[in-house]
Amino acid sequence: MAAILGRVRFAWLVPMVLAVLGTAGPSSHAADLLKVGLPDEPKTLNVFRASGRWSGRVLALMYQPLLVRDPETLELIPWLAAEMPVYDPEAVTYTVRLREANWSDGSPVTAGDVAFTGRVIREFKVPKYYSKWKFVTRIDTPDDRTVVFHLSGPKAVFLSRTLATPIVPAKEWTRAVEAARKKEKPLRSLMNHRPKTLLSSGPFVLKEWRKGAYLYLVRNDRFFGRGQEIAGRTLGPHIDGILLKFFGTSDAAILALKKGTIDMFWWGIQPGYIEDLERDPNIQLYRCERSALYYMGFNLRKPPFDDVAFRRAVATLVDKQFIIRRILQGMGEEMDTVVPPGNQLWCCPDPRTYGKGLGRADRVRAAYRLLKEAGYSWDVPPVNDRGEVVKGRGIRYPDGRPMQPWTILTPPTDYDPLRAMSGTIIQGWLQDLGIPASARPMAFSALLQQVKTRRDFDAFILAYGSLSLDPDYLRSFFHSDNDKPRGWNMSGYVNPEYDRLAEAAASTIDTQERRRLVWQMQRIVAEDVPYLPLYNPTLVEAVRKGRFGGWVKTLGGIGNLWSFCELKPL
Amino acid sequence: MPLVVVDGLTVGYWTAGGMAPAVEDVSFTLEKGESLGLVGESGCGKTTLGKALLRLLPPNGRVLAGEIRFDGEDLLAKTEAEMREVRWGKIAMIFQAAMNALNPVHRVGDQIAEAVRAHGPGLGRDAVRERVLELFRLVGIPEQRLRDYPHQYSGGMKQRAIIAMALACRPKLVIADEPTTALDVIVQAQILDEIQRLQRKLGVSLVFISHDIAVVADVCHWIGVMYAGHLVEHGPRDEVLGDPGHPYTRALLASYPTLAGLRRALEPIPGELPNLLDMPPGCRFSGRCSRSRPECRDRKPGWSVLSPSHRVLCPWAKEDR
Amino acid sequence: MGLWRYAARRLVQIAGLFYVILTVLFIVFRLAPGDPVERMVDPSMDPEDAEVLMAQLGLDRPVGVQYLYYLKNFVSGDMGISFHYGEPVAEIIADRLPNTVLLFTSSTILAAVVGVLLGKRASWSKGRSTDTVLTFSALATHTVFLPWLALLLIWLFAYRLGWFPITGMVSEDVWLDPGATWWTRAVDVAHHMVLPLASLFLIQFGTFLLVMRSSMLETLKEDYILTARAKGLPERVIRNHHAAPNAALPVLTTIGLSLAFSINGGAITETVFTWPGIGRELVLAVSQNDYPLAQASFLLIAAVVLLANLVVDLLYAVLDPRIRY
Repeated sequence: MAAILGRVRFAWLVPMVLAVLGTAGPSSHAADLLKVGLPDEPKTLNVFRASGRWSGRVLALMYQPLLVRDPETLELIPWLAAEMPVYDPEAVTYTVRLREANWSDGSPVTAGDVAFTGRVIREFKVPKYYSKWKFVTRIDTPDDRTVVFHLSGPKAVFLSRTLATPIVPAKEWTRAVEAARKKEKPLRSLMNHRPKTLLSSGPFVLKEWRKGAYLYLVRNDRFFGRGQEIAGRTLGPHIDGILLKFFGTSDAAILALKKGTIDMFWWGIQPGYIEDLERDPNIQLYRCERSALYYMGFNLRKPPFDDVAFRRAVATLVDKQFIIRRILQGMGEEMDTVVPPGNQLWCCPDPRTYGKGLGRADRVRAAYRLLKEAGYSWDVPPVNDRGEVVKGRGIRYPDGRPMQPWTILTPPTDYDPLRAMSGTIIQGWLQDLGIPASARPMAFSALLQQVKTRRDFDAFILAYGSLSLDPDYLRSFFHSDNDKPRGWNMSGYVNPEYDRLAEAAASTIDTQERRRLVWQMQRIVAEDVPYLPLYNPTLVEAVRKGRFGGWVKTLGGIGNLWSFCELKPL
Repeated sequence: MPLVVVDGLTVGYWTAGGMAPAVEDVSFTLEKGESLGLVGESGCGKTTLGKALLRLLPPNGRVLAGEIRFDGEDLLAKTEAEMREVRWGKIAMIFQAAMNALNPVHRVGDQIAEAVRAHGPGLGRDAVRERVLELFRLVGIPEQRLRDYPHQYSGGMKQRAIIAMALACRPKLVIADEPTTALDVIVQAQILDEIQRLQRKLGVSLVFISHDIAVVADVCHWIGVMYAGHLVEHGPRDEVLGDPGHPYTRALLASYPTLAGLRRALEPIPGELPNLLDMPPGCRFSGRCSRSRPECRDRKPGWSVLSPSHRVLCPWAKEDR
Repeated sequence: MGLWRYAARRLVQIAGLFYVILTVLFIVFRLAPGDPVERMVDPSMDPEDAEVLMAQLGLDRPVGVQYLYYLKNFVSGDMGISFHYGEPVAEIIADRLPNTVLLFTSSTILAAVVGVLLGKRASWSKGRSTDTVLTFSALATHTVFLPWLALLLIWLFAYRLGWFPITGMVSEDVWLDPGATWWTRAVDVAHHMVLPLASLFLIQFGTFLLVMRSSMLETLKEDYILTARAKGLPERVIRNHHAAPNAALPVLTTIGLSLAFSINGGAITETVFTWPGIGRELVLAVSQNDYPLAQASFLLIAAVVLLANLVVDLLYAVLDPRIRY
């Protein structure tokens, strides 16, 4: 009887499978719909909460800032602003004229929207934006198209960061803001607000978000840039819409790309996949520089890292080219300074380098010389009497104490195999010199907590995947004020001269002058090595050939506003 | 014509140690309406013999030689499908109730109905139900217990149900394998009476398998004593009990407390059953026999005929009487 | 009646156990290294902004106070607000749970049915090649590395053969089409479900097969099977009517346990197939220190496993007349 039952239970499957297979024809591409794979779903489309990369990417297609960067020169150019803001050094004000632009419902983007955005951020201390607005003391709107920002003092980041804030439609948010004000925890209420609709001033507008499946954006016909020439480019968008699909793993996303289910995977391709994709006639790979910093950091609060000679010796031992060649399979660029080389505006051209171009034995000799001069000694020196490199053992501090074992914390291999492997390689180089270092992969959250909050570590390898183009992070990373729990100065670097330069740079409006200061800061960092910059991996992105043309390459990849404005169906 | 003719039956089991003969060269006949009691210690082959009659040997069991004729038909020549007709339809088996002879997840009534239906394909629902009720009445189970599960029955009731099930298709032969083991003495007596009553009433033939010669003595016309796979004595009840020819039969009788006309001190049989894989070439009981002669071990024992219907597998049976 | 009293007693036990799990989860997440805020900050933000974020998430309060709030909220049915979504956890779960339930119940039922049928088959042909093949494949699928298997399924059936979509639960073509009927949409979801279902099925059915096989082999030694044979019943009836129902009882327990054990596999399956369910959400929530969401997902899973085992025990009583509570 159970067998009959069993057969009956399977019976329903047969028509179902047949029906299913019947519908499984090739998926009919809406002709001009760009299908993009994302490695994760945006968590929220509340602009005041959005901290994740994916929320930001989607919102950037809708909420527009006053200024953006030219994709080639990386200079700031007017966007929602009609022209570059006018600075008044006497009054410390910036005056911005707005371009004629509309929200997707047809109502104009006004000075009131700009002021509203800034005021909400200031009033609620919205964490993501507050640091960029706290020095704005007053926002005036003499007319609908003019905004005057009053600053507490000259701020270098005003144009690049404050005016890069996406402008929010006041009428869509006013009610939520008023409701939040009355709450016991206004910010919490604001951040937990879920906008029902999203007005857009950008090239696309949200049509449907099917949670867990896709996010569908259609062309915003009221986009101010449509048919306009901005930065020498005639903007569209020329496509009907963008469909963002989510993929739990890169493997699946890449198969989807090869199959033609998606037109682009908006995520860096790991070196291991590149060879296969290069052979695929339907796939086009784009290589872009990234604004990334992969580096090794030291805890300057404790020996042996409190000694600059030791840090320089480590820097001398680390062969960045070797790491790039062997671990990144050539997909990267050596970094000599903390500012990524692709950031041509701010990257210092002449920082001090260590052991550049030297072979392994010469690096050992150079590091040995540095340490010996600083007074370190060995039970077995890594360079013997005849000048031959041997395996060193038992390094001692200048006062004769033996060096205690220490660890290099790295992210685990499942999070980033490249950093974990780099840690292992560096460990080997250090051990060759008799330095008792060992690499230890650690869960990523735990690693951050250990390094940044607890500040209980020896050395670590971490990275910033996309640093902002404004170099103000140099101040964050090494100013002594930030040497505190959760502060960005994780190394505990303290240098009054550097602090002075950083503060000066932060309030220098003149770009040439600021660049001079920023270069000087980079030279000091290269000299003192609180961080040892390692590499900047090349961003490789993959799209399907023959579907859309006009991808715009810029620092940070082809998945940018310009591409989506300029793409044309082929 | 006798109902059952077993001739030279030899059954073996494949084991890791080789082919172990469990029943060897057994022959007997049974007339319609008569009953045969097979007695012997556990492991003597009596259950194997019972199963062989229904061809229900486990997968490693084989009939190696001999013949089983039932109602003139050769059972060993039948196909599995034909055999299914014989099972329960002509030969039913009563199993020991203490074992899980009844399926715990099915109602007792249904299990009996299943047997009725299996051999009476044309029977309607009501007819089947009527037959089951009739069987319940026959064995004295109240009919409201029809829908109960086996675990809700007492041991005696389960045994009655099994008997009812055995009689479901009006078989010509019933094989009862230790039907009263593990029942208490009073219930045991009731069940034995019941079996005897039904056997006489319905006129079925009975092969009654038991380790307890006292029980067999109560029920059967004929007694067969088995030892280590051999039928060592076969004869009418009174002759075997009154004039046992085989030393093993005598020892068996001596080891039981109460038996009609016999009141002796208990005498346990010394020694153990021989290993099936390592039998002495001669008489299998020779190792434990008090009258054993030197040649007993090496020479196959011959039959002694004590009366036309009473034979003993011991050449000295007449001398030693 | 006894059954109801038993169920009530078990429910009380489950509630107690649940409280323990609730507390353990809280402690585990607070003790686990990692800081939910660190993932939300970037170098353009000041440390003060991070503190504001902490306060916004309610993490500025002492742990004891957080615990009391946690209990209070749980009792009032409020599972808190996800750190990353900014949405009530209950809504996120309500949104994802049906997808997981759909996938899991289908695969478990399918795995149980197929596992039981094949297990029966294997036991019946014990020692023959059918048995060898079935047992081997059960063991093989049981021990296979799931992410690899899932990817292999995608590669073969979705990429190479193109029979099924690569990942996801719906295809936009169908769902963006306003003219699509509920039937087309249901078929679309079913179409997407085939591969994840297959992958979950493959890791689940082996257990059922092996349990059923050994249970069946035990059952076949029972005397009622000999009785059934003696009754002259056909082999099929003996196997399906007499042996299988008895042998299937231990399989029930396996269903309850298998639920607990397939959570891991479920999370992997949902991740690889981008199936928007609880398992995938759980993995993300844990990796991003989204305490409220992770806690609630674990609680939900614990509740499901506890209740599933209760249901199994009660079903046992229904299916096995010998068991009465």
